[in-house]
Formats: sequence, C-alpha cells, structure tokens
Amino acid sequence: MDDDSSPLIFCVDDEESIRTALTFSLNKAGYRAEAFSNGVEAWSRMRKELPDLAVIDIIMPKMDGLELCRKIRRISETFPIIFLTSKDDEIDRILGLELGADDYLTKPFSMRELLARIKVIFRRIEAYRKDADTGETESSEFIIISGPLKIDTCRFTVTWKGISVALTVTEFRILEALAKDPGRVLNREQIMQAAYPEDLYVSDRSADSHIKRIRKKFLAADPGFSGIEAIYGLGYKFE
Amino acid sequence: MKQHNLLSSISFRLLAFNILIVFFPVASMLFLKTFEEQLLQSLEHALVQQGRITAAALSGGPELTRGNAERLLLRLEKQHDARIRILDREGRVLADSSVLPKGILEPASQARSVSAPDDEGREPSERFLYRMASFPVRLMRNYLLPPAVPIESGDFYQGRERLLGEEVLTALQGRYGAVTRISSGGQRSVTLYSALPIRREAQIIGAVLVSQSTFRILQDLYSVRLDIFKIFLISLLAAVLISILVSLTISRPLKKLSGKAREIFTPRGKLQGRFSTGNRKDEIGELAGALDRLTEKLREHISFIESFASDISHELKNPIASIRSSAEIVADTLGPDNDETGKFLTIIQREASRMERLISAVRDITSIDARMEEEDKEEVDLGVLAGLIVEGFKLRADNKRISFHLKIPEKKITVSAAPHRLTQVFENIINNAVSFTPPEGSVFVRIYQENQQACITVLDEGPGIPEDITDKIFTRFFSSRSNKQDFDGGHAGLGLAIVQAIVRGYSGTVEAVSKKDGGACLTVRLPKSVE
Repeated sequence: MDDDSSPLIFCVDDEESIRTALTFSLNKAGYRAEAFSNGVEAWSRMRKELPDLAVIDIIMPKMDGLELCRKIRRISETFPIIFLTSKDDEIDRILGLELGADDYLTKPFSMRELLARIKVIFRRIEAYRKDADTGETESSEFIIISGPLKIDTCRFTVTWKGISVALTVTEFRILEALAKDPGRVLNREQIMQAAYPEDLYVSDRSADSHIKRIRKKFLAADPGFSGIEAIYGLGYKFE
Repeated sequence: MKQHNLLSSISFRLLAFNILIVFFPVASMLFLKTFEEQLLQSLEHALVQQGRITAAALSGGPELTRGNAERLLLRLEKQHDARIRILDREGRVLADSSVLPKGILEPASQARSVSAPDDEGREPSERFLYRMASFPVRLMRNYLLPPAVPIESGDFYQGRERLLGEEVLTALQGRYGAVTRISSGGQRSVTLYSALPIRREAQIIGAVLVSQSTFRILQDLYSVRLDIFKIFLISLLAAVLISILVSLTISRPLKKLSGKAREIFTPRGKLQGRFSTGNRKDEIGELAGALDRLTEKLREHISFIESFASDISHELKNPIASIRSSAEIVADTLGPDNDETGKFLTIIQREASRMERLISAVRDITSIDARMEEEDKEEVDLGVLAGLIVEGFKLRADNKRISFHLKIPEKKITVSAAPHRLTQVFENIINNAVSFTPPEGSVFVRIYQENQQACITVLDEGPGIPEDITDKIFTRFFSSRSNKQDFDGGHAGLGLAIVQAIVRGYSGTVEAVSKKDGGACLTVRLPKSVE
C-alpha cells in the first residue's frame, strides 16, 4: 500500500523504539511514514515538503515539539498536528499556547487509538475539502442537534448558537457522547471510554480536565454557557 | 495558638531574677540592726573609758573641789564629746561639761541638734520614703515584738540638786553603774548613762557620770537606711526597665520566631514565607538566619521530590509507551487466532497499563498539595454527595453483591472543598471497604456532625485491621491484601494515602479503628463550613 498517493505522515520522537513502532503501524495502516528524532531534522525536511500530517513528541532535544509547531504554523495555519506527551499536565500548557493542535495523546498511548484519531482528522479534512469543492451541504444523518448545539459527526465540527467551536478529537468525542443523550449522567469512566474508544486501559483521571477545557471553549463562544453540568460524585451531563 | 504559661516565660523569669537582685540592699538593711548594736556597744565602751580617765585623773590629783573638777573638764575639752558630770560623794554636781562657761566648750549635742533626726528639717519626700520603707518594721514592732520594759526619761536629773540615780548610787558604792534613759526633748534616741567611782586611798570620794545620747548613731543609721531604700527604689525601677528591655530584645523576637515557625508550614505541609532576620546581628538574628536556611533547604528538598516524581514519571512513560505499542502491534500482526501468545500479550499490555497508573498515582500524590491549592473550592453538601456516590456504587455491576447502607443527618452538613477531591476521598475509602468485605456483606456509610466537624465513617464487614498496622495503612504502597489485583482501580496501596493527603490538605484528619466484633471503621473528619 506504500504508493505515492497514500497520505504522508511524519513522526517526530526522540525515542527510537516509539519511532519504530509508529512507522511500522502507520505503514501497516496504509500510510507513508517518515521518522525524525528531533525537531531540527524534521524541520529541515518539512521546509522542502509538508506532509499530510505530523505526529510530534513535545519533549525532544535540540528543537522541541512546540518550537517545531510554531515554525510549521508560519507556513500553514491548518496543517494537522497530533502531539504526543508524557506529561499530562503539559496538555493545558500546549493548549494555552494556542498552537492549534488537532489532537494530543499522552504516553503511553494505544497505537490503535492513534490510528483511529489520524483517520478522524483525515476525514475532517476530507469533509472540508468536499464542501469547498462541491458546495455540498452536510447530510442530516450525521448531525446531532440539541438546542443551540449542532454536532456534525461526519466533519467532526461543532457549532453553538451558530458559532463554530474548535474541539480536539478527544473533546469532540466527549461532547458527542454527552449530547447524544441529554440529561443522562456519564461517569468519568464512561466519558473516557467515549474519548478513547480504541484504548482498553485508559485512566479516568483526566476526565475532569477534558470537561473543563470543553467548557472553557464554549464559554469563549458564549459567556452564558452552562450546558455541561457536573453531578458531583457521579459525573457529568449535558442539558 | 497555645498561650504561654506566665511562669515559664523568659520575660517573667528575668523580671523575677532582677527583682531578687534588688532585694539584696533590703537584706543589708536588716543587717543594720546588728551594726546599730555594735555601735551602741562601742559608744558605751567609750563612755566608760572617758569616765575612767576622768576618775583616774581626779583620784590622783588635788582635792576634789568644784574648781579642780571644772579645770579638769576644761582640760579634757577637746578629747570627749560626751557630757561629763563630776559628783561628790553625796551625789551633788561639782562640775558639768555642758554648763561650763560658753565659748570655752561648745556642747557637741546642741551643735548637732540642728539636724535632728526628727521630721523637721528633712525633705518631705524623704520623710515619706522613710515612712514607707519603715512601715513594715513599725508594724512588726507594734504588733509582733513583746512590749519593752519601760525605761526612765532623760529628764530624770532635771532640776535635781543631788543626782542619785541608780547608776550613781552603784558608783558611790564603788562599782560601775549604767542606765539607759530616753533622751529628753521628745527625741527618739536614748541616752546612755555610765557612772564610775572616784577613789582616793580606798575611799570613794565621788563619782564621774558620763552620758551621751545615741542620737548621732540613730541619725547616721537613719541616713544610711534612707540611702539604701533610695538605692532599692532606683534598682527596682532599673530591674523593671531592664526586664522590659530584655523582653523587647530577646523574648519578643523569640516569640515572633516561634510564631513564624508555626505559620511557615501550611496545613497542607507546604512551606510558606520565610524567616526574616530583620537585620539583627545578635544571636536571635543568627537563629533566624539558621532557621531561614533550614526552611530553604526543606523547600529545595520538597521541590526536588516533586520534580523528581514528575521526571521519573516522564522518563518511565516512554519505555512503557514502547512496550505497550509493541505488544499491540504484535497482537495485531498475529491476529485473533493466536490464543496462547495473545493471552500473554494481553498480560503485557495490562501490566504496562498498571505501571502507568502507578506512576501517575505516585506523581499525583507528590503533587497533590500544589494541585489542591489551584483548585476552586465549593460548598459541598456531604449528605447529597454521599448519597450520589453510594448510589453509584450500588449501580456498579459487582459480583460480590454487597449491600450499602447510608445514614445522613437531617441537618445539612457542608464542607468547603473541591467536589472531585471529596469524591476521591469517598470512592477510595468505600472502595477500600468493599475490597475487604466478603461477598453479600454490607458496607455502612455514615455522615454526622461532631464538635463543629463534619465526619464521615465507613464501616465494613471485613476482617478488621490488625492492631500493629493501623498506622501503616495510610502509608504509600502499604497493602495488607494478599492479592493486589483484587483491588480495582490500580491504586493498589495508594488509595488511603491519597485520602490522607487530601484530608490533610483540607485541615482534616483520617483515622482507622478496628471494631471488636470484626470490621474496620475509617473516620474522616473535616472542618465544617460556617453557616
């Protein structure tokens, strides 16, 4: 499947074994993959040719993931990037920098989960491209509407009162799970399962911070937002 | 804050010590009594000596006549300051040193009477001081001492032609006679009288009567006493001032330091602020400096531990990630048919995941204080929260079929905390109880109020906690479970340690008790919110 038409993905990580696993899995899934051990190497290659997607580790010698991301953003604002991080408290910092990561995974991550996310991101891009090319409107079978909230599960886009809210894949999946069944309380475990459907061993510790980030994004679009309610002890519900 | 016992405070001890030193002059005042007695003795001795000299001069000289006697007294003029009277054998006065012609002999007693020890002629303030000081002595004299034998007045010889007092009679009989009389003129002093016989060839031809008032001694003693009392008052003032000064320069800064030492640890065990030396160059400044360095070292150490846990977790996650993804890839490559290998690959993945959870938990527990500080607190109704959590436990599919019993008070009990932290507390202690309870057993959760504290107890029907490990169960990685995998959640050995860290963070306590009839009882106490 390693032909030139298949998407090209760059993997940037200083851990050799992770690079090996990444390229192997990506190749197997039908993508072309190139691996780099640090930001400098990756950047010198990217200046010549941008791939279709990049999986970038944050902590690396020479040039770290954030620096590399900033450089890429100067060339392309919409280039899809998935961050890998071994420090889960780093996520908030990355998002605070507004580098426009499409998604992030904390190590150790499930390879299946990563592949699923890559697929989602490509589908999102594909859907946009189609819209632009054909002017085709979204098909209603992929749309979830709950009050002012509209979720397009095909394009992975969300709008609230008509304002689009940019969510990462994790956040999108959590919101989708909550909005599908308004009023139903999802506990942390269920929330994390929705966010990482391919990962059997995901810890529910970061559920609260994911919810916090979703709320923050909605509050930025609408300061009166109170759609996600915490039922302490049990979990969260969408109303 | 504990109030210092007054007696044990350095300031008080310093004051007591200083005052004690001041009382030494007072003790010396008492010694003056002995001094006075000695003075009186030597005075009497001097009187007798003068009498003897006079008597000796007269006994060997010309006939004892008025003229001879007066001449002798005039010769002695400069050598005595007592009143000397020469009497014939009938007790009649032949000569009297105090009535010798004026200009020739100035009576010493009259010259000094200008500065009488009486109230006149003294500064009123000094009089007041003396009265104040002598008040206890007077009290003692009036009420404690036995009444003294009344003594004759100095006016005894006033206007008499023949001086036949007791002492004179004794002298005329050839012996030494002595009598003490109260000085005339209402003075407080007494006058000592000594009479000595004048002999000529075994015949007693007359007597010498020497008398002197103790007035001068009393006067001297008075001024000494007054001076001592003045010194006492000044020293007392100085003692108080020195004590205050010492208290200001030693005790107060020390108190401030100890207050700071108490404050520097927040209830969460975090170091806050620092010891200010206030540019003191003394020992207290040194102590403050040393304490400051100590806390700085502690601070470094704590942050080292925190960052160490963070680094370790970061460094370990990479290899775990590799193990996990490799196992996944192998599993995917082999496909679902390969049962044997698949089983072991699942073990690899599960254990890698367990390692990750443990690493995260370790990191969590070391940084829990820092994290809790950032979290928003809410007023959480414990009854409602407990209800929801117990409901959650009931809903969980559990093959042990454990029944949960919740008892909450009618009155609302609220605690100011981050709800998810309280949830963590509840879940961990209930989880712990569940894991020890046998199938079809019961877990009892009770919320109640006690001494302004919100209390949560969770009682299980398990084997209880052996006496020797009740303290250890809150220790990290301590677990009395034989099989750690029984425990759902992957926090094996950390659940209760996390509970303790959270509860302490909210200035609460957690304790475990083993019930007599079996079962362990965990009690969490948190400060109740004020309504």
